[in-house]
Amino acid sequence: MPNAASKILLMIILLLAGAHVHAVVTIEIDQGVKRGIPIAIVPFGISDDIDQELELDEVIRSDLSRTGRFDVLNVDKFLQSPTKVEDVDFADWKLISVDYLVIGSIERVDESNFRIETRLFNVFNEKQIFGSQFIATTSSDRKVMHQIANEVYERITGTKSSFHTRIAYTVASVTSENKTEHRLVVADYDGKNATVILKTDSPILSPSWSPDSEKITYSILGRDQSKIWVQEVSSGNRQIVAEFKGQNRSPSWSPDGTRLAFANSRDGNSDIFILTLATREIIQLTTDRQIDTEPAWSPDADYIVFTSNRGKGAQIYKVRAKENQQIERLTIYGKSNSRASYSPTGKQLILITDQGTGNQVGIFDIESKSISVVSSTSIDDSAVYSPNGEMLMYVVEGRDRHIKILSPDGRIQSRVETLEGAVNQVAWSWDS
Amino acid sequence: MIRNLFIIGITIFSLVLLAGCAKDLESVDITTVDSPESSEGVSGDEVSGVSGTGDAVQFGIDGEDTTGTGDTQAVDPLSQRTVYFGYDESIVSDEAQTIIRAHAEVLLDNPDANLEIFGHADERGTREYNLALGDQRAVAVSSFFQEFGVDVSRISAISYGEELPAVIGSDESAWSLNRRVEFDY
Repeated sequence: MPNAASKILLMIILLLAGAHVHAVVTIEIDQGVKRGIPIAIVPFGISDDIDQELELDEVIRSDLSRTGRFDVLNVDKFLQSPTKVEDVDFADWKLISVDYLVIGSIERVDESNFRIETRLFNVFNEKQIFGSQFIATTSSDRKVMHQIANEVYERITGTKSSFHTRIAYTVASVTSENKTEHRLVVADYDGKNATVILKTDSPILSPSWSPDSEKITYSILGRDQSKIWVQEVSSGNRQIVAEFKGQNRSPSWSPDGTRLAFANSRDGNSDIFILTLATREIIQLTTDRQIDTEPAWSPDADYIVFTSNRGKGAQIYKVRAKENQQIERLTIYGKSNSRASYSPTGKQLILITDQGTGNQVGIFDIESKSISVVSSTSIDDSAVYSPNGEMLMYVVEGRDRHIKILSPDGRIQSRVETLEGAVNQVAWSWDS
Repeated sequence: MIRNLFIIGITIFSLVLLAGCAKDLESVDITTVDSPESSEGVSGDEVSGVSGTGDAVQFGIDGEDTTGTGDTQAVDPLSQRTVYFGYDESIVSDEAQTIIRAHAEVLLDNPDANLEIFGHADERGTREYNLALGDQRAVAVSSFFQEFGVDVSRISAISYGEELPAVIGSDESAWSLNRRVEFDY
């Protein structure tokens, strides 16, 4: 478990002059073991005729750091800061043990467009791995930087990043009339470009993205009944899809996009159901008298995992996504385990576990049944994998509610910028 | 002894019943929109009340109206409209049953009154699980009202999970007051 003394706060500050100074991103690193790939991202060269504030290399640095797969070198360690190929002296980078080097520059094309040029080098063999040009505007600059980070990530690791994906989160705040306002917010995965897509007096719960990432389903806790809605992100159009007798909660979109798993309490206690969206037909998966809730699909859509207190305390169970199937208990260690969802490989579950030290984010290995705790906070909720499985995100509860991104080993932690208020739950979009 | 208390309680209750209805509805409305972040109103009263007497059960949502004259008495079950639960449990304690029985008798004498039951949980555990846990607690309390003769058609029960804490705080003193069922009629 990381303790305060073994952590450093790595403040990465963009070293650009005057108008180009950007927000400071704080990434906390537990220094126990350094095992990321050492990479240097040199501050991009900026032509003199640019006076707009643009989001530049800091975006790339933050993206690569958050995954835990890279150790992004602090700029004050650099022996040189080249912005052109001809200025790169590989000896200077070998000396400070950098494996990969990114340089770039930006120049004005016309009134509103900028050309961004970037190159990735293998320091060891002194070869360029790729070079690309992008056209950006002041509003698309972050998007381009995420694209560059993705390119670097993919070329070096061989896997696709999640830097271009989005999140949805719920946040509650108090209005000037002293009422609570609940909002559903969609943002880039790092919290930027936040847009409120729904405002209501009633709590919004369990947002879940459609596989095409164009719609979001959620439950609204009404005065008399909770109902499940589907909303189109771009238009805001929304409709009720489940208002069956009892409470309708915890929707989870199937990987093929045609069904929702959800919890309904028409028999007096919460059970797991599947709704086919086209026909509005439902099938019931569980029938016991205890709590069954928080269903989530396996990546192949064959199984549903869910939380139940049919044993003592909450634990995770698994059932085939059909009627009248055997129910199998998955988690055996811990006082309680809840809100599980699958890793993209289907081999692990991320969940909220109580191992006697509070509610923490845990990774459950389905094969070995072991659980590893990866968060260092203790009132955690709503933990999810990124679409590529190489980052984790969850909500830290308590006095200062916020969203955190974790590397899968828990080593790298960073806070996600959110709109003002108390953050409640978070959902990560799919890779599309 | 208990029976006498009930009769006294019922008499007091009958006197305030009509005035109480409007007030109660209003206070429930406030509860449903009250901010989890707000430290005013109900939660503030409860915090100071608890530290003053050390008796958590005395400070239900409407507690401040009816406890004013009862300081020297142990506990008048009719002054309580909140019952509390253990962590991740929905077992109705003996103390809670006494409170429910007292109110059930009032309801039997007032056949036009309908009962609303609100289940709550502390912030630990996930939101959806806590909603289901609040359901389970509300259902458990509802079962005792039915056991004591209140017809199920007069009862509505809903869970607010961890969404509407009575007390803001992240320690056992707050959690124990948030693991509760409130009822109103």
